[in-house]
Amino acid sequence: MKLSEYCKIYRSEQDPDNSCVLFSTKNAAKIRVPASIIRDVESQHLSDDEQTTLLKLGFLVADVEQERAEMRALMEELDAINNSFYAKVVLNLDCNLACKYCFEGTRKGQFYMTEETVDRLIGFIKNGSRQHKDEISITYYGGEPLLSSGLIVDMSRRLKVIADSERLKYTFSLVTNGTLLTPDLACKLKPLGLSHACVTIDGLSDIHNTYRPFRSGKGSFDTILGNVKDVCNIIPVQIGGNYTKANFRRFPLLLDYLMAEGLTPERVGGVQFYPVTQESAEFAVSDFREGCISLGEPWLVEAWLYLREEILRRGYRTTKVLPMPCVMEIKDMFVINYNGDIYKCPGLIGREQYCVGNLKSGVNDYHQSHNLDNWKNEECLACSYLPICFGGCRYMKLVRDGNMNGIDCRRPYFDAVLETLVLQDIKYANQIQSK
Amino acid sequence: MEKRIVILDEGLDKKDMLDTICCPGAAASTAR
Repeated sequence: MKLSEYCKIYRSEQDPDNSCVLFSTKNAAKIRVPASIIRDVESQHLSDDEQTTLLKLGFLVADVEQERAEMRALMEELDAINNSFYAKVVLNLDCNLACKYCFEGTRKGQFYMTEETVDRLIGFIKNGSRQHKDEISITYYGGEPLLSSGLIVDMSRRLKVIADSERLKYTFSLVTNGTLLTPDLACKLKPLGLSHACVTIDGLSDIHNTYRPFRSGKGSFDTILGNVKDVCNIIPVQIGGNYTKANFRRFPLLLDYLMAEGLTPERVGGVQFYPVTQESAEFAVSDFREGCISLGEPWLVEAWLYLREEILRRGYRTTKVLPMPCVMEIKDMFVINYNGDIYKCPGLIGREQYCVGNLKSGVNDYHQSHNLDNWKNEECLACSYLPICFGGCRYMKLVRDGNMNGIDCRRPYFDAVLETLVLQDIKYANQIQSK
Repeated sequence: MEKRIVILDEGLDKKDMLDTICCPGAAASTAR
């Protein structure tokens, strides 16, 4: 028996001289063991019970080459056990806000999904959900999806009928700016399958209103906060925030404000802060240059660890460190643009060479165009970070280098952050979410 | 003999990995 290649060994905070923490990047399992156990693995001196436990948790393997072969085949295995048909649906590319860093940038406009496209989309989802599925899961996205709330109601009613007749479950979530997420609307959508909403708040009102104003120029902070306060009793609300190098240190003030306003950890679904990503010149809002294009930017290490600790030490929940395949790798996950074009990643919307089909003609082969096997090389397969990286982000590589060739290696980033993240996950185990 | 392995987290099943898919878009990259 050998130690898995996808295992990290860190010093335990509890007893750093004598014990260590083992973290499996394959499945996020964590154990604390005496340092001597590592030697006993190498010299084959484990007890039967210890060997059984370590095998079950994925820390031991019979054969390293076999483990690599299993890793190579992982996406096919996930496709085979995936019982959900998932689509992220871009209902429109319109918005009532004028965010300085808008992700859709110049792709935005008064473009809305038509009834005809909705009919095709319902057919597409119906066909997809018949492939041995027991769940239809949709994220309504935009633009601002709640500018198309009528379509959400219409689609959800129709999908619920299909789901009921096929004995499937139908649920949906919203990625919304929160300005239109009123209690009345949440109450209307919840019985139709609304599971949760993700709302973005970029720090306190001074930062937020600068980065996320209404199109009129008026600040949106008070409107969003008011809605989140009213709606969080009806559905779980995940709070996200997008920071820059210049403002990330002030984001914890938002957490204190939420707490003071009664949005305490038990009333909020979870909190995640992310760096603003910089779109390419083709699509970026013209004067915005503060976004990041690589996890290799040194300030991100400090920002990520600092903000995660601030979230957790106040008692808010956040996502744990997990194996994380890229959405492009999973067969039954799609992004549907308002016009019926099909993509594999929301970052690729409007990039014609990465359109993988449309609702009229179906999905074409995208294996080569999306470089799906980029991580199936000896260097990546031998890297202990592979299951939490899988070659990095193809979209970020595309924005940075103009192509998806090769990989977006994140080894230096994980060298810098993973130990602290894993120790945070242990320290705050009750607040760490796996979904 | 005293147990030497303290299990802190039993980890995920493979199926759970389908709930942690990564996609960009700032706050939109939260798991579905």
